Amino acid sequence: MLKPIPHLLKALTVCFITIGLVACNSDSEEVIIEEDSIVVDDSSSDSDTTTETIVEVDPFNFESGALVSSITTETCTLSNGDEASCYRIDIAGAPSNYEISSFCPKNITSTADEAGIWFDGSGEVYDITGDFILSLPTLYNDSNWKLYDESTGLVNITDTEESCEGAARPDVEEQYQNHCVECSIDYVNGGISASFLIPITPIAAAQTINVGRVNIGLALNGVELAAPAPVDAILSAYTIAAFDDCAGHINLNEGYHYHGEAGCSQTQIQSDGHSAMMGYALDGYGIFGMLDDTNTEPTDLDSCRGHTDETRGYHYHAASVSENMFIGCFRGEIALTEDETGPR
Amino acid sequence: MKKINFIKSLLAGIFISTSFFALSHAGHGSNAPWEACADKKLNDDCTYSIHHQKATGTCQAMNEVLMCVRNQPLENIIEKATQKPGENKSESILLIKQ
Repeated sequence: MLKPIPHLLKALTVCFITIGLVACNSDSEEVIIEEDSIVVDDSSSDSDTTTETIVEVDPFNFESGALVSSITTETCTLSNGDEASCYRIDIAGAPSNYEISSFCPKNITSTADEAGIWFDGSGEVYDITGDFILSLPTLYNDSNWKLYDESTGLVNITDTEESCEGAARPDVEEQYQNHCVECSIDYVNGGISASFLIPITPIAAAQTINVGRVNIGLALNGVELAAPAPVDAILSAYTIAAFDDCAGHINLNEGYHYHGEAGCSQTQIQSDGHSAMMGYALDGYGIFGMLDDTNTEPTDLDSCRGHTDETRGYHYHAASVSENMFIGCFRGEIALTEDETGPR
Repeated sequence: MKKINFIKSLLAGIFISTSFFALSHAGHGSNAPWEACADKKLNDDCTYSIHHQKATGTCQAMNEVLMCVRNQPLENIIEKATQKPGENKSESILLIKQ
């Protein structure tokens, strides 16, 4: 006898929600909640129907070992002042899917396999071979470059924690000029965990938001996606802040972090030939590799380097490593941290 | 002595001003993306060339300084082998999408 009542209540509830949704969005939008995504129909007329898929942040996209604690949900304040539900994601600060490899070459005969990568000064990245070290005065058109000991051929490397601290920062200490800068992950106890607050459901911003001085998001393997490396400051001190082959390097403040997308965090392979997913931006939109399975880059990217498709909704495509950046701006609202009073 | 001090001051001034410039943006491995937006506004179209490739995008604020963020595939710039003497070089650039 009691069973019909819950069914009736359910039916009434569904009716009220449906009516409410339609009423709230009567001017232009219809929201359909699906299993893993929300489809927003922002059609303004019957003849011109456009549907945009909005894909929520999926905690299962993160690699095993990428996080130091379970993802939790909390209320957050977005850059437009609205409150929203956000995920609190604490990354390990070290890649969960590979061992960090070498950065600087040991001597002027080192090969590409023995060291990482760096910029050549004209918009390209190169393996830091011994030849690269020898060619620095030519590459940077400055005869003061000399990163090695002429008598031994050994490269000057910041091989202690003290030298790492003095050199792996924008204001390089004078004694570490003409050094290849590298730091061991051991100096930061295997990685510095970082906490990210990201809207669960990305919300398109009225205006794009500029990339700030800190990070732009997180990789699926637990590594921070940093803002562009301060290359000019690094080079002006006659140092190179060598990346490993994954475009990551270490300092004592941020630990291991990426300055470019070299393919090492593209862990979510797409079945349709689209480039693999490698991380999330701070606004909750996914970041994918630059090229698809046919080595083709999209031609319809917006100013933030994003576009929309039916499967992934709006998403970004990271730039190449040589561009020292991932995305151009945030298309969505980002969560404000406790000490922030406005947009980044 | 005064002359030496003046030169020192001049050099110090140049050093400080260039240091400020160096720290005023992040660097790219190339200054071209910043130079492409030097006289432009946020979201203006921009282009720059690196390694015989042309990048096309818009000016975006990166660390509060405008840089050209590429949003089109790089284009290879190949000069026509058949270019005739006196022919306008800029008009003979053949752009091939990567």
